[in-house]
Amino acid sequence: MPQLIAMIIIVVGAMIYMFQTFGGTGDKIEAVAQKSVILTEINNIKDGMNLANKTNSLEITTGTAANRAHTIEGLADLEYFDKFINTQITTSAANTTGNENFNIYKGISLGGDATTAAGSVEISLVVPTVNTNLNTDRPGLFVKLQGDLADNAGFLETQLATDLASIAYLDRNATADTDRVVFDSDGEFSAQVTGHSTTGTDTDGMFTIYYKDLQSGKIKE
Amino acid sequence: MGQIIAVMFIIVSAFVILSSQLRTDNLLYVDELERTKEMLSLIDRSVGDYILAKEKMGHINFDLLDENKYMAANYTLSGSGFLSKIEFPHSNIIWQIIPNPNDNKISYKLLVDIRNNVILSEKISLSEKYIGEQFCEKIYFGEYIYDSTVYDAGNEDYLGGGTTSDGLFSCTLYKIK
Repeated sequence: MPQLIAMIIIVVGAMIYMFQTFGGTGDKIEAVAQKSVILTEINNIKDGMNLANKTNSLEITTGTAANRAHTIEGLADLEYFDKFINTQITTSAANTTGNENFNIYKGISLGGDATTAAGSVEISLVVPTVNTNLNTDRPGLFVKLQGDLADNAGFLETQLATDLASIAYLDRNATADTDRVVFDSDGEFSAQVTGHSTTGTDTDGMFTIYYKDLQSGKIKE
Repeated sequence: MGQIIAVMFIIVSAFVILSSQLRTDNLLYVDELERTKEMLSLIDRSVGDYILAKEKMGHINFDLLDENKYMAANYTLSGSGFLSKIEFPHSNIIWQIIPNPNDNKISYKLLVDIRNNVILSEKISLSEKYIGEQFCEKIYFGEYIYDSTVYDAGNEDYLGGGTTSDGLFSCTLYKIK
């Protein structure tokens, strides 16, 4: 019985702590859960991109090789992701025009499916447009948080940036999958390419992740 | 009190969000690729033994390897001559070998059929590319031929016409002269 009482006191204490920490609204508790789900979704896509990078299956945006891809849809066609993800991407591409140029995966965990207009988290593949820096270029993932996540977008972007800081370069000014950056031979950020958005902010829920643990120089023409 | 209850609701909804996430796991798939690599290695070693015993590459097929006991494994043989195929237990991958008609002294052609393997055929175009390029080309320094389909006795070669996603392809693998 004393143990039960002690446990109740601890639970109540924990609640008071959370209640004070999170300002009584608790929306940040939900946001932390959302963050974890977004990370899982990003990792689902990263796994596929990693494999494609390893097998030389990524190409620049104007590439046309049948067994290479420059979009999420191209990778899904080559079945680099899990079956659910491949199916969602290829069938939602069929609803729009130009399969090869369709570049959006709508996070399944957050309600994305082939028919919904927009996903709460959307992930796109970022590859270079030209072949000038092919030795140091690396692929990226453009992430867009919107819909149900819009209220927490700034918090989530900051949290994800902190979590990923040690293993990736985050381009937090990106506002579209066409906003690219180039890297130097050490894999460090070198410059934004011409035409990169100047209006993106650190709290708009849009950013591009360039993983450092991915081998650079594997993107083909 | 109302706020505490609200917080509890939020915690519950946070758990619901966390427990309904899609966490893909490709461990099973990677494991299956690893098994395929082992099978490839087993076959290549048997061919190596066959060549070291001064046998002729120009006659090679699984029927012959089986008859002369070069295959050191538990497998099922079907067909005869150049049409003979083998399958290892619980693998559902079918293998066939013929001498390379273009150069039958130092190389042989291995036809791989992964269509019946449930795990590999779920990502059939990736599996074909991975086995062909990563295993045949990068590990065994052979050549991946994506369009091979069936053996044709007239041409003494595999017929073309396949695609990169049909789960049927061949590899040219080289041995000592």
